[in-house]
Amino acid sequence: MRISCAPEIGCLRLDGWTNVRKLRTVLKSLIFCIVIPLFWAVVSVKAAEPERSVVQILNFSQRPNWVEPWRYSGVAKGTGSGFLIEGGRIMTNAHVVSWSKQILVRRYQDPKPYPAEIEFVGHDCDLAVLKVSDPAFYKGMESLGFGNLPKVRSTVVTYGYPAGGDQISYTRGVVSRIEMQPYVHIANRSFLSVQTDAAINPGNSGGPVIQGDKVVGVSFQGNASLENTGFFIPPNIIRHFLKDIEDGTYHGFPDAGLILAPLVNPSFKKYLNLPGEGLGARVDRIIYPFSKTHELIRPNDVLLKVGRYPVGSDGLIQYMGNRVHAGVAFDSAQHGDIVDLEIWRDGKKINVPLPVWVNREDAIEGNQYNQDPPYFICGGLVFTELSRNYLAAQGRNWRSSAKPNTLYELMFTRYLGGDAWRSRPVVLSTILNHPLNADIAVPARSIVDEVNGIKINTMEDLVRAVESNKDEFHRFRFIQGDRIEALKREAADEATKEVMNTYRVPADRRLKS
Amino acid sequence: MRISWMGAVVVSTAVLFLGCEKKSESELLDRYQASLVELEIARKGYNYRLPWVTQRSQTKKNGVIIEGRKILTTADDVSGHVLVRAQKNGESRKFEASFLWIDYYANLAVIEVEDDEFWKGLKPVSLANRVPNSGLLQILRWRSGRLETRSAEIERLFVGKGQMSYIEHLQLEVSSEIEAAGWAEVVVQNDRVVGLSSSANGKSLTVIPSVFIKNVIQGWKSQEEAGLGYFDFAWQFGTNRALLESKGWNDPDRGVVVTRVGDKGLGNTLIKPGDIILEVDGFSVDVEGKYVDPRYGRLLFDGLATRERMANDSISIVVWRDGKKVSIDYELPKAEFDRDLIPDADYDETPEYYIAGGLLFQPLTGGYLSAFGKNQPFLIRYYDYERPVADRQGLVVLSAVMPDPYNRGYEDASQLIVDTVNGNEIENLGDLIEAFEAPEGDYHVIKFFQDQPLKTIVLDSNELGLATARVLKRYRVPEDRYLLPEKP
Repeated sequence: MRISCAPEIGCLRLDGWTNVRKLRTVLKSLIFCIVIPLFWAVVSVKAAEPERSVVQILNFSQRPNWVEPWRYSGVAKGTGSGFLIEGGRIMTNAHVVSWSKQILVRRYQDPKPYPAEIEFVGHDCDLAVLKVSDPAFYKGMESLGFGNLPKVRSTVVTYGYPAGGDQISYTRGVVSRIEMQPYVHIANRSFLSVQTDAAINPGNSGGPVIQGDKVVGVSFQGNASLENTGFFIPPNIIRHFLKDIEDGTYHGFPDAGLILAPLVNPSFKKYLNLPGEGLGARVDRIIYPFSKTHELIRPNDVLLKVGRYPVGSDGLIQYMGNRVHAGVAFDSAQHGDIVDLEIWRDGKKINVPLPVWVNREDAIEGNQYNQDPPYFICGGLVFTELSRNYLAAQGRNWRSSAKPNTLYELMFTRYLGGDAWRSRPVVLSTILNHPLNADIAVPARSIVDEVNGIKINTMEDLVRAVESNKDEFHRFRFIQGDRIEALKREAADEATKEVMNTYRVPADRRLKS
Repeated sequence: MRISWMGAVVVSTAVLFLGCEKKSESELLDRYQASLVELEIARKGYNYRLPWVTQRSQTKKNGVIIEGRKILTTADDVSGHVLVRAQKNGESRKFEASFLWIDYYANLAVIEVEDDEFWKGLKPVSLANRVPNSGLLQILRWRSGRLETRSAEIERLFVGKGQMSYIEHLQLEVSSEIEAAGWAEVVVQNDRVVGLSSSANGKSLTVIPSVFIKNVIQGWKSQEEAGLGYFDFAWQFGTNRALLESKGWNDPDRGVVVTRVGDKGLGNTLIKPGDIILEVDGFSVDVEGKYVDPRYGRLLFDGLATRERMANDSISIVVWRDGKKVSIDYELPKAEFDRDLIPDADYDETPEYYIAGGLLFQPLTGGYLSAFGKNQPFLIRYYDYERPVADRQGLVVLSAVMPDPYNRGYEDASQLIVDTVNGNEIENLGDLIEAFEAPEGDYHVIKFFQDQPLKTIVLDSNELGLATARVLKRYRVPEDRYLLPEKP
């Protein structure tokens, strides 16, 4: 479950620019990817010898080009770690196996690589499970079981195959903090995360973190700006993922669409007729779409309880001995579940059973994987979906180089709803040179507002607006500066064919299924 | 032998040439020694983060004597002036002076000196009626009591945004070896002043040309505070032939397309979005927005608003609209920063603020934005860039909170754009103060725009006065507010 709180609460916002800034800082410093893993040294490995269940994962991947979406990068090789769990599955991080074309796994002290396939992947929680079809792979391997959330100050051991050698590596660390953290693989989600003081090395990602003889986490990211700091995914997130896939589909973590603010000021409490001290955080806003949340929850409702967890006036709950963001209490819900909320409204307590679903409407705001970007070509003008991936493809400094209204369109219009909110804005990605478009004055990266008088909210709108047009001209309007452009319709059709031939574009479009 | 003779000829020619150059440089310095002065301007600035705190600074720049015992200089770095003094002939004596007028839009100012002693021996210069398109110029300035000169080569004449405002006007770009320039150095050609430098970037120097200066001076002579006019509409190239044809205009060589009107809030809406601009002031406008100036060649038509015209003058514009040519008598609206949703600049103005229970409110202005340098908060930058609020005249921001028990829980609130206070829409501090005088019962309810990181704050209305007084005392703030006098 995803939930946010306003900035003065001092905890993490998951929506909007505050979050983006926070994420930016985190992203700068967090190392993760396929090339990162971490590991902690052995304390007392039990007789089971967990290292025998830990594998090295080799991922041969290819990514699409987000500016010219029919093109793909060369093949890249990345390594990570994984471990055998019940059901003959290898658990690892989603980022270890993203964009894979071929995955090989290597057993402990076994020279033979085994081909593996992704069975399920959860990019929001950065977890994946793989399957190996060769039964020989499983010979002599025991699956590792999961334990509970480790306590702060307790010792854990990480296992993995970090860079710098081919042999398994162990590192030991102390659990130093447990709280919500941005999961940088997806970039726009935060979940509970455990921080430890062990160093982070590329290649450890996906490896188990063990306490006693149980897995208490999956290593997944580090922080380059801090010394001896690594993060692992705790058991509650792992179990949520495993339960989610029981029906054969991974849905993801549902979202309530709430933005919480602390309710510390005595006057505000009095204004809401809220008695007592220290209890209840205020619903500051509800983002879009979340129609059920809009129906059941109101701004200035005070959230008193989520399930069995009382919510403090700072927006935190007491969770297994830790003060963490109230969002953690939602994270046990599955897609379509109902979360029982106790709300203070109009001077009295009410119970609100709030159904929650996975929000895919803000997918463009985070990193997207394993889905080729859509595009459509009209007269050499290449249109694609505005997304974080698209902007990030413009270079490392994309946040500062993008026009303010481009970032606003991507990250803020869902606070406004109504006509202001486009679920999946379309951007003029690039222009394939052709005499027909040589004098187009609108620059690439402009966001499409209207085409042939039709407001464009999605790529499908764009294609419909172009293909239903019977006029002599296609007319485009962009949001940047209200600029407009036009192409002769029939000439555009011809030009599309010619640029496809010239630039070896296999098709004039690819839309999401 | 023959070679030696030739060498001797070359050497003697070079000596003669250098001698002549030295002589002409010395003549030039003699000619302008009595016309250039050095200005010292002591200024008072403000810390927009703490708007009640003043900062002192001093600027040294150049001025040139013009007719009527006046000194002409640029308006750059004169905002907040508290003391102006002028020096002549490189002498150490400084004469107190005062500004007769400052035109920040034109980046020009005129200074007066009452003391007759100052004017003894000084001579006014002539401003050139025409600016050369090419060739060499001389740059003159006082430096450490010595009049110095450097050569400059004309790079181009162009129409561009001035240093101090959004006004686009004719400018001259020259290249020169002169260092640390851009402070109203005087640019001359023989006995005529061609312009005053306004900025420098490496070896490139931008000069406000004499023809523009003359127009502005003439405007101030004929009508006090006439001001410069501005085409308050934005346009895009008409290079894409299909775009013009889609509007029924079939001349591929003429016309730019109007995209937005009234961004600066100046009120003239005779031009409409979608219009194709064909002619301005009788000049045909090409697809890149340029016309052929009879003196200076191809220039952007935006400069025609300041070419021999001032605010409220009419200028003819022919547009293509709805399939036919339409002639418009466009009365040039006066450029005024205050008309904008977020004024670009607030020169000579003490920053406004209002403190309520430790919450510091400030109007969103260019000065406020500039205090962030390159690190402007994203949403503030977005509002400045996009002006998405069509129905308001201005915006007020909760800029910071001075912690106090009264505002507990809001300590980290900052850079939030105010939507309403107690149900009243807020456009300026006057609205805000009025709204605080009408609480919702026992409470003040402050709401911010929907896209801000926080939507609502509630304060106790009965304790506001006491809390404000406590905060002022604790944080040593002299007053709870500063509001500019209302403009007529």
